[in-house]
Amino acid sequence: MGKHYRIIIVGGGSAGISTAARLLNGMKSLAGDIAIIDPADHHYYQPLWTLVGGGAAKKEDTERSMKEVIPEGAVWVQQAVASFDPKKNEVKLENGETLSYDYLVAAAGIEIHWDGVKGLKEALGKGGVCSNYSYDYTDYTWEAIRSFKGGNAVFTHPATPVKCGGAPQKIMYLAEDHFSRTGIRDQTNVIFGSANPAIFDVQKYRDTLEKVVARKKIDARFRQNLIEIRADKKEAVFENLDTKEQSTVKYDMIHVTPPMRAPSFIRNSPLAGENGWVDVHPYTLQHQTYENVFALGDCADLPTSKTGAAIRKQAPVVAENVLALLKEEPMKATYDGYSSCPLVTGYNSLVLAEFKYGKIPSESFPLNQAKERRSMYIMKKDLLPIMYWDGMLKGIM
Amino acid sequence: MAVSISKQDWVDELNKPEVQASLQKLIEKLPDLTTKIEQADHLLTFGQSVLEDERTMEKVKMKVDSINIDINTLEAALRLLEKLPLLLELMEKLETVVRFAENVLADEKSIAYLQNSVEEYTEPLREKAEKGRSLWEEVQAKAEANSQHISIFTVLKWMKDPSVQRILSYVQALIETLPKKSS
Repeated sequence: MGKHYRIIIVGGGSAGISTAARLLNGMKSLAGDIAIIDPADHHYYQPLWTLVGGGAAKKEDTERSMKEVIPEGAVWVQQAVASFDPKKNEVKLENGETLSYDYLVAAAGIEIHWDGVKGLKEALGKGGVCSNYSYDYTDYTWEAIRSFKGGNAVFTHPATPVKCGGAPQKIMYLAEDHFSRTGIRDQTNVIFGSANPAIFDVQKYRDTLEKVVARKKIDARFRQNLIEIRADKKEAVFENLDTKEQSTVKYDMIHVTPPMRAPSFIRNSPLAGENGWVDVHPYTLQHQTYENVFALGDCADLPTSKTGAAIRKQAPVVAENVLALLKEEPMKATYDGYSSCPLVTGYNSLVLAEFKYGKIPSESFPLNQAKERRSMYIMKKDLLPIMYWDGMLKGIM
Repeated sequence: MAVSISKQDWVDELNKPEVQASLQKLIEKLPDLTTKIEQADHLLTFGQSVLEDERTMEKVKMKVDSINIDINTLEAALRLLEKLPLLLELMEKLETVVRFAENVLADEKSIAYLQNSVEEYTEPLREKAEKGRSLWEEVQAKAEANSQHISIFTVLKWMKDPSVQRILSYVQALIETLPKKSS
């Protein structure tokens, strides 16, 4: 039998680190009694990858070592999780060790299913096939945009939940802006192949984005799901999700948003619901079956957009509710489904979409956020990264 | 109505096993009880001595007199107590701001990132200022090096220059517009 911790947090991403920091801020005596299990060496500020792909930020600015972000008082177990046994309050690690807990917080993130599109893995990073969803390839996106000489520039959105649902179109708007600035827009067809039925789920922002798509003369094709990349012929194969009819699009560059799913150790565990995500209560974030288990972030089964901004509002709820149970008090904190998507519509313009459960706008600023604004772009590029590293990950914002 | 208890009643009572067990416990604890009573007695004696000691009491009185607590103080304390939930909320917000600022200042990478952003925004302004400065320096150098006499014919020659004509057309437009605006 391995070590026992009062709280085990699975995952050292945005959700895991900020929850650990909040728990330690709320109860100093937990120092040494909170374990964060994560095999990674580095932690990434992924929201900036869109701008890295658009050549407006450096990817090195998005990376820090795990040592830098693990809060003081938390024990970092640099291992991968193999399985869960929530009935015994145990987590089995890939090195064979078993850890036990009083409370478990699942913050395991999302798994990118590169194999979900035939030929994608082999094609990525060359021949104009790029993706901002990998640290290794974000700068290749910029190379593909920068070296583009005209033709078909294709951007895709898959038929699965993705982290930051706006990212697939943000890079398209930046690329289109770049093509216009460099004088090749007239020789370029910008095509958006999206599995979604519309450009955005929330009506208020959809209205604005539909105007952006029209103004930029983007050929938006909905209910189209990318299923194959034929790198040798530079062809992308889409399937119509309603008719199942397949169509082929020639590309000169293609930015692929790959399909995503719950990590396998979550998907195949007793914690998962039918769809593979952790089955939690949408308001308390407590597991529907195991009372001492909570989940937040991308791995949680919540009917809202999977974003870092959502995590910023979920972490205090999980921390407060776990602390309440530790003190044998009733849980009071609730999550309202808040999520946000800073939709970059070009260099220096951004629509800050903020909404909650029911796709209802829930805005922070006393101005119409559906309008494209430079101030919001500056906030995303220059202020949000600082707020992330020095506020959110420290458990104070 | 008072109930008299006979000797026999007492004997019967003492014969009860639970009473005997209690008495036994009481006797066992007597040394401990005696010690505690002695301690309480010491304390009371000490208190009494303090009260009887005029110099000590004088000092205590001076201390009390120097504390400016009156009814206003008590009222203020009560009002502060009432406001404590709001004050706590405000303090927590302030604490967040202070801690965030502390974290940023202690984070070299964030500071470098912010500096870089500021430089990006100020670079175009700096370039413009630099351009203006070098232009002025060139003009100044040429003017100082020019020893040629400027005649009315030189001025008339300048007037043919398109840039001078453009400036003059602004002057003309200003002369025409000003009287209309001031009337």
